[in-house]
Amino acid sequence: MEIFKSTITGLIDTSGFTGLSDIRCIIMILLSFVLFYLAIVKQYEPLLMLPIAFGMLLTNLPLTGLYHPELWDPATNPYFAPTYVDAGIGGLFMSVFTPETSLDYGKVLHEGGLLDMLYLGVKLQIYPPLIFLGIGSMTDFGPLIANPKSFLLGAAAQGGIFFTFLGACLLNFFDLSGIGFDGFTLKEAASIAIIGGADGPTAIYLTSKLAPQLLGSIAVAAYSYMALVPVIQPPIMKALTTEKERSVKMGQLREVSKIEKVVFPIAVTVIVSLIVPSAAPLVGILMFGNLMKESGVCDRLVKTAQNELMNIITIFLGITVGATAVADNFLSWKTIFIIVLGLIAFCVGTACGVLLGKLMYIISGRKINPLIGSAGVSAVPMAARVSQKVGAQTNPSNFLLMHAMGPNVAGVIGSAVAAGVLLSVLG
Amino acid sequence: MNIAFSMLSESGSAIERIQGLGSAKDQLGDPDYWGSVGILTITGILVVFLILAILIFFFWLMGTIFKAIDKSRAAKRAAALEVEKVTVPAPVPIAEATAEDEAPNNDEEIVAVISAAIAAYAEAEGTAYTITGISRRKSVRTRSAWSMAGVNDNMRQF
Repeated sequence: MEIFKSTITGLIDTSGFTGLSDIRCIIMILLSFVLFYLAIVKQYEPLLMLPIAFGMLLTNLPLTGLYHPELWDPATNPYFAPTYVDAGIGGLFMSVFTPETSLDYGKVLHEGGLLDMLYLGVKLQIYPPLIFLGIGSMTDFGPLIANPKSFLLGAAAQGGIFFTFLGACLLNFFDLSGIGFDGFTLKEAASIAIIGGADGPTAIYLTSKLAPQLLGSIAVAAYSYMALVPVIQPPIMKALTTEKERSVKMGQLREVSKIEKVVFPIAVTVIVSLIVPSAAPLVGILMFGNLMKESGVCDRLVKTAQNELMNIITIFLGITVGATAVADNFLSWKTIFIIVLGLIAFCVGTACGVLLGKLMYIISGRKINPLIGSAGVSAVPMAARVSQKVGAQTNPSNFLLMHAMGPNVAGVIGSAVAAGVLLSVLG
Repeated sequence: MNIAFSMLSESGSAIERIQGLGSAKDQLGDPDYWGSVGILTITGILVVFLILAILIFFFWLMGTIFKAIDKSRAAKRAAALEVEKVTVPAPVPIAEATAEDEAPNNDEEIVAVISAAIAAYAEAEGTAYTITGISRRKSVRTRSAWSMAGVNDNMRQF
């Protein structure tokens, strides 16, 4: 009887229920249920939202040991570099503390759980470029090559990023320490601003380097807003354009030869990497995927990059990014401000794209439909579909899709360049 | 470009110092905080625009070169075709004859297809239809209904 009793109490003590005393864990679990609802019922970017939600659930269930936030904080898991110090009489080996962001990865490998291992791919910036490899092998840059002016629209829509960076810094101006908000550092502000790039892998790439503690909130905000592009963009597009501007039909794009399509990825890689080397991991790998596709000589590799590799990385990326959303990081005013600032970033990015589109409409002698400007906020191909849809509402026989794909894919390059710029200054 | 980078490197030391301060509040207290934030914002936009402007120039140049090559190729091809026409004038009248033969036949088939479509669409017990005439509707749009339906079908997946 005594043995039975002790076994039962032992089981109870090691079960997760004892850990559930923390109300914040329960709130986080309930929040993951909300994300399940958004992913399954509302189908908001379900391929990423579902793994993110499940990662969030797993990490907040107590005592599962799948993910250890303390292993990823240099304060609790610092790295001591072994260094040889010559002290005059012979020499001795010492462990020297390396400040900044250096982590003891050995400890991660010894003590980490499953999600800690997979998170290495985020922390070491492996997953986002590999996702870009798949995106590159699926993207047709033809519309952009046929109409290089689209690059301008892709650049204008990045205005949302820099505006939000300023906005996040301005928020520090108000003293909100009363409610427990102690402001955003420059690195955090830049990570939030990149939500305006409307590009999940870029946002995760930059945030994991600059402000890993905000990764969960920023990824959830970025992917939610990307799913909401068809809701967020049309009112802004309609408010900023007149009916006459929206009904402009654009001439057919010229046909692009194969040589041009092959030269494009090589030229973009060389030009961008020489000017902003820190954008090379994203832009370079994106263009590598595209070159594989356009060259037409490595079909097998292209198939892998588009399907199996992309799917595997998407699962790893989603579930580990979700796992970083532990209560300590997620349940704070910062998350709420990130959600608000992220929305502002999206709206301003859309507005900047449409406004430059209007300018080009005037300069080109009413040949360019300003609606294609909003597609500059990457979110491929959703934003281009929105341009097509709003254009077709005004004039059902108008087909803007291919014209909008130009700024759309230019936006991917633009946001990767913007991330590179922020990284080179703040990284 | 150089101006943008020199501005960045000038503010770079200030930004490094500010970043070293750690917490957001300490960063805000730095006298160069707003200057650095402003410079970073403006140069950031400028650098993005500059890089994409360089790409525009490069691909505009590439486009004009390729367009010129295409044009010269097309001109060569047209010249080659003309030579062929002169040497082989025979097949043209034959093609015209077959087209004329098939024309009335085609019309009957079209009437039969349209009648069948109407019957399938509006079929009901005890009703009979007589088709008195079929004429082409003057289209308001630039595309025909069939072409519109095809384009819409292709676009739906996007």
